[in-house]
Amino acid sequence: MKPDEKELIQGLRQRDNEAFELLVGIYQKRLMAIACGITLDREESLEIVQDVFLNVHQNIDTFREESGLMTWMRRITVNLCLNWKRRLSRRVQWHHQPIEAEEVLSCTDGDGTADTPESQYMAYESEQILMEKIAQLPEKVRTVLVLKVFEKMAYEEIAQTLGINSGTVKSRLYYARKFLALSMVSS
Amino acid sequence: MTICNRYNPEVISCFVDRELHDEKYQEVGTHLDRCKSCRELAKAYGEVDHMFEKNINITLSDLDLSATKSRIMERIDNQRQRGQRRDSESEVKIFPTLSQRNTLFDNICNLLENALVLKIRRGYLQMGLFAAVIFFSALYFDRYDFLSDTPATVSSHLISDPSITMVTSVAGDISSLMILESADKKMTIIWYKEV
Repeated sequence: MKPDEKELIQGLRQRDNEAFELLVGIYQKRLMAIACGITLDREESLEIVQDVFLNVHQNIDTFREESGLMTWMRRITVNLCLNWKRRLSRRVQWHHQPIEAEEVLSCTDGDGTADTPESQYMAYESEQILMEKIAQLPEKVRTVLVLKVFEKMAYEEIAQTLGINSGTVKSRLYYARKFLALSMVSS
Repeated sequence: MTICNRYNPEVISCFVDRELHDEKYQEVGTHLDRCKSCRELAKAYGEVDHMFEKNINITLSDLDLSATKSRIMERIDNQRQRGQRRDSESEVKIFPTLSQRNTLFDNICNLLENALVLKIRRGYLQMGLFAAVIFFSALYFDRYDFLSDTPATVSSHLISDPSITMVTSVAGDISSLMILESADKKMTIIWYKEV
């Protein structure tokens, strides 16, 4: 654990508002990306991330400092996301509308050169199909993909976060990529 | 997409993730330089990751981070105020609140861990504590030897305790029943035995 993180934890334990503001400022974007990737629901992800920080505020005294703050909060985020989905599926039959790739049409690839309308439309179609297919992945598989893609974690780290073994991480990632890559090719 | 049989596609997936040991990574990398189908497969896997990340980042790009931060701080403040209100309202706590019970349990677990100089999973400690409570309760009640005694002998043990009064007892050929009451704790004890 870094020395400045120790000071931050000390501030959090003393319920210092500035420490909490700093915590939120540093980590909220990363946690939002994880929550959004698992739930594919932006509004729900906002609620979940708020709950994560509330959880930290409530339980900071039980935090053991064996792992870093981000590792702990990542675990809370994943659990809340998976619980959200379970609660939702029990409450109501809900047809999930995945996040649309609408904004892609107006984006260039960063080098400032605009694509042709045809290639832009092809890119938009591909991304829309991809997001639809990602929504069809089982949550356990999507969670592994999210931790790999957004947090760039090693298989072993993902395994420890989720309480599974690294062989399972490897096979879930492979399954996700195979399913998605084949869908893109067949489209 | 044609697939080359040299490597399992899962190995290509691990290559993309840099999860192969150095020698294998070099070997697969060299193969990808020469094999178009494996190279396209690796590219497809990488593209999937890239497009997923790009899409989510676009979704979150217009997020007002300062507004979400304010909302979070507001909820933390509310939670803090609710906690303070709850503490000031309760004068006599008969049962500890859930958070206090958790803290008490955590303190017991920390004491045990320090005493035993071991790090034990909380789940095992919880089971151990529960088993200890059951064991010592069984030892306590075993004082009265309920399993083998008749109502007369049991009642003589209990009635010697001035806080316990026998309400009634019935001894039959098949079974025996005794009902006792403790005055101080207001408990009703029903003793039943089949002969």
